[in-house]
Amino acid sequence: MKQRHFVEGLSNGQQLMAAIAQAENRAAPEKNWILVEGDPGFGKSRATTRAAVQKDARFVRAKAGWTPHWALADLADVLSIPRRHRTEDLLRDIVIELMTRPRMLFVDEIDHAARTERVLETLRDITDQTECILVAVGMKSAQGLVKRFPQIFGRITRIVTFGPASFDDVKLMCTELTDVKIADDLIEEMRRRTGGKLREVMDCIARVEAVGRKSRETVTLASWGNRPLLTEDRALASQSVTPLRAVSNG
Amino acid sequence: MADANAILLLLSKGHGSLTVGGILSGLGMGEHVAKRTKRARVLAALAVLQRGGLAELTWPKEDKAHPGALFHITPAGRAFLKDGKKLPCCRRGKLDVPPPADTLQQRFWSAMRILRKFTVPELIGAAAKDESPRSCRTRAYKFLDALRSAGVVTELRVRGDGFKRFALVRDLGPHAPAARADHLLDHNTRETIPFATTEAKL
Repeated sequence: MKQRHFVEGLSNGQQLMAAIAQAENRAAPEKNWILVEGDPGFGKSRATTRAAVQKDARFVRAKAGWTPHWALADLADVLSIPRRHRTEDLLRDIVIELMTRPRMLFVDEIDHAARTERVLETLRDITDQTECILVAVGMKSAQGLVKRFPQIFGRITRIVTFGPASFDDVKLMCTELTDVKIADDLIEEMRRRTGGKLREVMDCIARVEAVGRKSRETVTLASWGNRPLLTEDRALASQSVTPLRAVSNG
Repeated sequence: MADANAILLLLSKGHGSLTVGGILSGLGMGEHVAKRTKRARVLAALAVLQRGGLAELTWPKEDKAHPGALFHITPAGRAFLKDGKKLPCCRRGKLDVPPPADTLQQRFWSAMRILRKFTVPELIGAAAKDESPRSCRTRAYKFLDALRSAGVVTELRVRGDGFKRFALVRDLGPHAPAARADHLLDHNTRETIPFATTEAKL
């Protein structure tokens, strides 16, 4: 496999970057929230971490027991400003810091924060005063949780939903990650079998590549035959073989 | 901490030596601050000046008129002022340094602060821009080697896919530290962190 660690141009990642660009050029200053949601396995964490690093943003993970003070203390830590005992001092320091050095904020696991209105309101106070962009990342249910609070939901400029990889995404991954030629029918089979989950697709590519390197031909669905494509296929294949000991005992 | 630049300026004026009390009255720090706190802040700033060789302390026991320690500006301090230089502002131990440059090492560091536990491919996946994969890998391992020697990063158990995992155990701040021959330079506090062992390589 080629030594690449990130494939640029996947549809989910592109949507996220487009949403950030849209928020950076927004007309209404208070509409500065982006909601990123999706089920696990579709590259949400990878894409948001990468976006945060590339944009020199500050990244914080919401905790299940977050209170406004705890949330502010965590934000103070990632902004490298000292923690204060009083919540109002903490909020003031964070606002001053973000106004003097504007930065994008990423809040992962927003589902935790969205359970209590006070935490979301505290985050809204910060973004309203500083006009910095806040990217809230959560599971598929995050949208429903945030929707309960219209004053917060109104701040969202765009909702980015991370879904299964498309055929074009899988094809792009095959092109970027391996030199072996893979036919479209096998790419479609990989997409269908993996359910568009990126990690699984990468595993498939590694397996197909091993076969393609030996044959030095384009790997098609027909040439692939009954070989196991997924890890679970291998497990099933090994189960179907009758153990030798069982035969001898019988 | 009191403003070290203001104290240096104060010492350069007048007859050149002042007690802590003299500095306190010369600075005219706010009335709302307790005297003990003011004294501690001035002493902290004086310590910075002493460390930098810009001011020095004498203890004239014989002089009844000055029962406490006297602080003087040194020739180096006068030259410092003459050149129009300024000490970096200090805010509760963190230096007010300019925002970090967009370098690969800085992006590695930002990725480490976000991920906390990571493998080299994960780190490169988050941080790489236009750099070649080979160069990214070499630089990531070099940087991690230095961080591990300084105790900033620790090595975890190898994962199922065979990649070494690391954990960030000391978050130094937003600025990436720089690796030197036998120490790590923390740009957030300008402190040096010596390497524990130099022979241990990744």
